[in-house]
Amino acid sequence: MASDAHLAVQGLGKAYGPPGHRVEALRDVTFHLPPAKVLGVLGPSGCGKTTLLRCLAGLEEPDGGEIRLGERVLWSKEKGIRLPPERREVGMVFQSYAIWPHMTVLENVAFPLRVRGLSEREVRQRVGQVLEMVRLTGLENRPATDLSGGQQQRVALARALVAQPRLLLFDEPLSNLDAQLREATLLELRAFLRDLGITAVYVTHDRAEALTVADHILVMREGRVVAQGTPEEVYFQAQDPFVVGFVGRVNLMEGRLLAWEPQGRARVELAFGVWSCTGPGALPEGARVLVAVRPEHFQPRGEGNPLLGRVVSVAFIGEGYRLEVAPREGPPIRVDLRVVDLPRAPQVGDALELRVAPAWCRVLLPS
Amino acid sequence: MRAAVPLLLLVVGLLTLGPAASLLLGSFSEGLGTWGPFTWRKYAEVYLDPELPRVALNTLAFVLGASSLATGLGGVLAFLAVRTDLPGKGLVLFLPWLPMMIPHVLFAAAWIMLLNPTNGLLNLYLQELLGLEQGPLNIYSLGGMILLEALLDLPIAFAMLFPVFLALDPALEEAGRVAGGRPHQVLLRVLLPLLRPALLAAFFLATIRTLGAFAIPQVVGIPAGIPVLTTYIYRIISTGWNPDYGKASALGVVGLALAMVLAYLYRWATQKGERFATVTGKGYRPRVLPLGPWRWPLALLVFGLLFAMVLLPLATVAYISFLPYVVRPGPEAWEVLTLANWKWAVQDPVVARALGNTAFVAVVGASLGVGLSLLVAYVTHRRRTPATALLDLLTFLAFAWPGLIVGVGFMLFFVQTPLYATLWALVLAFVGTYLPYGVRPMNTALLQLHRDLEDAARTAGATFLATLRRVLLPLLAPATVSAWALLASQFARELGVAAVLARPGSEVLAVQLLAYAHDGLWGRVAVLGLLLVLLSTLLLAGLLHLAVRRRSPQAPPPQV
Repeated sequence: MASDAHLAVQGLGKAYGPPGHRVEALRDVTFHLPPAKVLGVLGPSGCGKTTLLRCLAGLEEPDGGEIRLGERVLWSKEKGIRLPPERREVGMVFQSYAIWPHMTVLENVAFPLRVRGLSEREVRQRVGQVLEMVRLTGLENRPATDLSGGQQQRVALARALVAQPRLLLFDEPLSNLDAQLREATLLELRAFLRDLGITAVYVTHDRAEALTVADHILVMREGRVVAQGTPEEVYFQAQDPFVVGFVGRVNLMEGRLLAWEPQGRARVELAFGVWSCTGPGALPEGARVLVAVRPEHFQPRGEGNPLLGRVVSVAFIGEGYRLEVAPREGPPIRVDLRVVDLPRAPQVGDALELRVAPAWCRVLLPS
Repeated sequence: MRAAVPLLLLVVGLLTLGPAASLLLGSFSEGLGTWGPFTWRKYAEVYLDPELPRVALNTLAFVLGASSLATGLGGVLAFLAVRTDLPGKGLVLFLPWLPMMIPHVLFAAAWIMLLNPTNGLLNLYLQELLGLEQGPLNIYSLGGMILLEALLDLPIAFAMLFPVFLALDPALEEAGRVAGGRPHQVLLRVLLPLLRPALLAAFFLATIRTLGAFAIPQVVGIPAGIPVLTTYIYRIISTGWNPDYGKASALGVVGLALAMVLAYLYRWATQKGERFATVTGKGYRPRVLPLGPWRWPLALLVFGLLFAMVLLPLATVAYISFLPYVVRPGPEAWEVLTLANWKWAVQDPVVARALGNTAFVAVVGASLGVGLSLLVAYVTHRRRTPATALLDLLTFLAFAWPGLIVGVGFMLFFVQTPLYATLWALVLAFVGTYLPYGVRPMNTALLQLHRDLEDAARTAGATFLATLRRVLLPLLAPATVSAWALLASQFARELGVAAVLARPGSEVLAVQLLAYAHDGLWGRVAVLGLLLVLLSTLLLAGLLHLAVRRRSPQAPPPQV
């Protein structure tokens, strides 16, 4: 079932509302997704990610730009091409699942094949295959609404897959599942998509979901693409403070750039001392900057920049502790420590000396 | 689909604005029954009529009296059914179905048989019992009119208030009690203010119905010498050789305007009610109030009311239908027992024609009405443009218009076309007048259908038409069936519009009923009325059977 379709989106724009009160849902959205890869589109609600997905499906019409899938143009303002949804060869899993309540499981899943006019024998055979893939064999004749949330979700997936689409679209497919089921389903879905080798776009506001499932990440804000790359690139190397904060927990500390050192290291003066950090070389010395450090990058020992302070709050979260540590000057800093790295449970009021390697301290330009 | 919007605007505009515009034009026209040279004379004549102030006062008293009584009784019944341990309260739930069954003229006739001052059956019994010279009660009075109209509109108030009581979060009252309020304080300061918008909405809906009411004012009010707006207009167009539709229009224009004010108030009250967080759609278990020693007396009262609304009138007309004149049940009645009325109904060619016409108007009208409602509801739901907003407004406009007045508008309109005096004139006028009642259940159903259900079909490879056929229509089937039933039974009984438009050849049962009631041929009224009840029951039963046999599952419960 592997898809060889390369998805290319160029300069996509879309605005809603009456003149004078236009809301720009998409502004010049451009990206490429290689065949058989999964793109995770991440952003806060109202950032335009669902509009983007609906434009890809053909459920909404952009104002300008171009969408290509493989060698076919799906939509192009310039070329005057606008394929309706039913001719785009896509499959889509909706947030609400959109399981048709008047049909059985079989009828739901067979629908895409039947509207394509396949013979009933072939319909049965292919529905059987795809139901086996999503582990729903035996439930064919149940009314689709009798199923549990997780099962309905798999019916929706089976229905999206059954016609062998060239592009699979997911609109927050897991947001209606409870937390435990969500995690299990997510890992299963990831393995499933890798095995199938299908080109897919997965929209979510949940960073863990996006990082887990996707080969490539697109972060959107107010209709614009603000970061893209592999999950690691976006997580570790993003330059936009919004993106850095959106894809994971982070401390953003205000400081002043003192000087550049060899190997791209920067000396930055923070409220409680001077740290050695990494960052883009283009910044002038003396500039006001932000230093981003993720809480999990602090360690109780070893080399690196020192953080001396008192514990002001402790939260035990199972695999470790979430602390807030107040340095001599400046606001408290969030620190995550693993249980195995600590001699005993930390208490409020404890004095701690922590270290963080310069590689994890990244200089950002304030936005 | 985009091309459908202008077409729908045209059709709906013709059906709603058409009669209103015709009425306005007609009211300024010199000619009788046509649009002709401009004149103010009709207004002058009709508004300087010395009888008019009395008509206005009658109308005011009738509308306010019947609406208040209907809302009050409906509210009490809804409260008893939801919040108390009233015995047999499940029966009360059938209430909303009842007005769909009984033609209003038949209801009036039954109560005239029971409570007219000379030989009303109940009056005769009371007279004997109390040793009076004459019957103590007189149905031919303002009080009688108000009572009968209130009983007919009570189910509508009940149907509006019942779900409100059901959805009322008991925590709101419990919070009042915990905060230190005594039960009557909680009732006055929490419960009633919470219910005020819903009560107002039910009241305004009742005023809309009573302002447009025609059957009770005509059959009971005219012999009593108590004309109201509708019967006064009807008198203008039904007397003399050359009825003055211009004068009727001059009065009708004000009636329409008044109805629109009421419709606006109704919408204001319902929207206010929706803003209150009480109706969340969450199913609360209502707190049941034990009635204690009041249980059985209240039950007796409630079932007495239900008895007075259905069984007593139906039994009375069934009894009368076998008599040549009104006789008390007893040996004397046994002697004069006759099948003459039924024989007449079977043999009379006009009855057969009216029966056929009624069935035609109900079936064809309901089908057209439901089809149009479906299209209008779909288009206004899925595309929010100025054009669809206008369509929405046009459909709502006709919501409160009294049938008799709209009928005059349609009359002036159809006179210019070959449709005049045909059955199709009735069909089109019915569809236009009742469009809001068809669109409303469709709107509710479409609101519950998540848009994703349609989009899923499109991305699964179905064209728009295939999506319509395989997903939308099957899912809308329950709403379509109930809208059809509502319209069909309404069209079978419709009197106001039909009374103006029906002509020899296009008679319908409801209008024949009115004619025989006017002539005091109560045996014939009874037979025709029962035939009409039978026809609506058959229509509803057939449909219900269809709905049960291929029951469509409801939309899945929302998951959070």
